[in-house]
Amino acid sequence: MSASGSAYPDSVDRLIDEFASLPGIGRRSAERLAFFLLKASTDEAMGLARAIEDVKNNVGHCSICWNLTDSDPCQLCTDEQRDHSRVLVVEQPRDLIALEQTGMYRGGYHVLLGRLDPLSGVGEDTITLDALIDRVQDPARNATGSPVEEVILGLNPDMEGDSTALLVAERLEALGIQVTRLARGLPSGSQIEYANPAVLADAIHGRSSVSDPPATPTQRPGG
Amino acid sequence: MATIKDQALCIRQWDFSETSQTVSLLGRETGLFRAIAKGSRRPKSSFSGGIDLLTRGDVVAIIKPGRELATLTEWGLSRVWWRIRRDVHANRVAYFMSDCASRMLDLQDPHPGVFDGLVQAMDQIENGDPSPCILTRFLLVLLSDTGYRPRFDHVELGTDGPDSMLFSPQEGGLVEGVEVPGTWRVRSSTIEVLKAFQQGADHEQPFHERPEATNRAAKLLAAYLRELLGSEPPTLSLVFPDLAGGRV
Ligand SMILES: [Zn+2]
Repeated sequence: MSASGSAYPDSVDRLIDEFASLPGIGRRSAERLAFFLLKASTDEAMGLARAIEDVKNNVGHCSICWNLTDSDPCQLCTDEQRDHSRVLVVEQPRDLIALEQTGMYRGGYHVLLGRLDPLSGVGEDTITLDALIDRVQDPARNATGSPVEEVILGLNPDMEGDSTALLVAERLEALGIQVTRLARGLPSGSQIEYANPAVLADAIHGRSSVSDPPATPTQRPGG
Repeated sequence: MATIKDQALCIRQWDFSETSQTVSLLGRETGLFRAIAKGSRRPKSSFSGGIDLLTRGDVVAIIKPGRELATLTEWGLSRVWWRIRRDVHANRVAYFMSDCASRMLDLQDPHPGVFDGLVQAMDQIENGDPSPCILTRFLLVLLSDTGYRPRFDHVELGTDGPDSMLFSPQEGGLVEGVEVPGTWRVRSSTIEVLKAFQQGADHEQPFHERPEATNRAAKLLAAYLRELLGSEPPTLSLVFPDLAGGRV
């Protein structure tokens, strides 16, 4: 019997509590994870402990783009093959990874590490907007010293994402920078009858001329 | 256990998991209620692909007595207002109005007038109407519908000047006599605009005639609402930065 009154030893209780404090993990799942580790070999279990320790000791944010990195500046910011005059702004590192996996974009990024939530009082002081402004105003603060010519807003297409995009655009346009945003609506190769109403509403609102020229390519020849 | 069908506005939303949301909805007939929408973000769901803030939909929900969260079973998206996603000022006005509505209303206390007023205000934003006018009109609807209609008729208006009238948030309207702590000095032109709106004058007219007085009218109502709430809605400073931090 543990000090807390549960049937588990204290150290097991502590492990369950730690797992249960993770997002999306309830008490039952936490117990399952704890028992998985109890059954695992010491090497396997300590491998997890070391991975957590390494991440906390070695991973930080890039001082230019605020992506997660174990070297500063990060590999993306030091890549001279990329076009750093374009900066794609995203909310979280996982958004950057999703965009990067498409292989369609060869510019720079800026991770805001959050977004506005005005109804909860979450304002611009919680995102890395000032660092983005610094990059735009001073090429020496941008990757490879390139002047920023275009900022592309790649925020989630919902009300909070749109609100954040409006604030970023307001601040950047005051500096005379070209601000664009990712298109939204129907994905190529999809079928209208299977699209959900939110996607269709976006597509109808954002309809474009059939003969619109394609957006300025962001992929360098051969890139 | 009751199944309700209603029109609703989404006025808060939180991620519950990767695919589910909890939402706060303002139903026209149901009033404010909170609900869980399981699987709402799955592309093939009965929730139109997800429930976004400040959109309107046709909703089906199961409300169980004593449970804080209703279970949403359908959300049929019926209206997206685009200007609030494209115009920073429109965005802030919309946030403030929805914040005020959610704070002034009790759960499951129907206020069809507030629902209609908010929908109308969002439509007016979409049309590009002047925001002080939209705000004044909506805040008057919200205050009146919740029993706090400000009273202006019992005091004769003085000649206009920066400090000609006294408004008491405690009394809910104009007061006579000398200024005491807790009362605010207001211009009679501000009150004239508010009376015109209360009397249902063409809502554009007072603004076109007196844009500054209409702006002051909206600001007075916002400050009054803050007093009624006993705390400052975080969105107040987006629309009226000079009222932020309890300033009048
Ligand atoms: Zn970087």
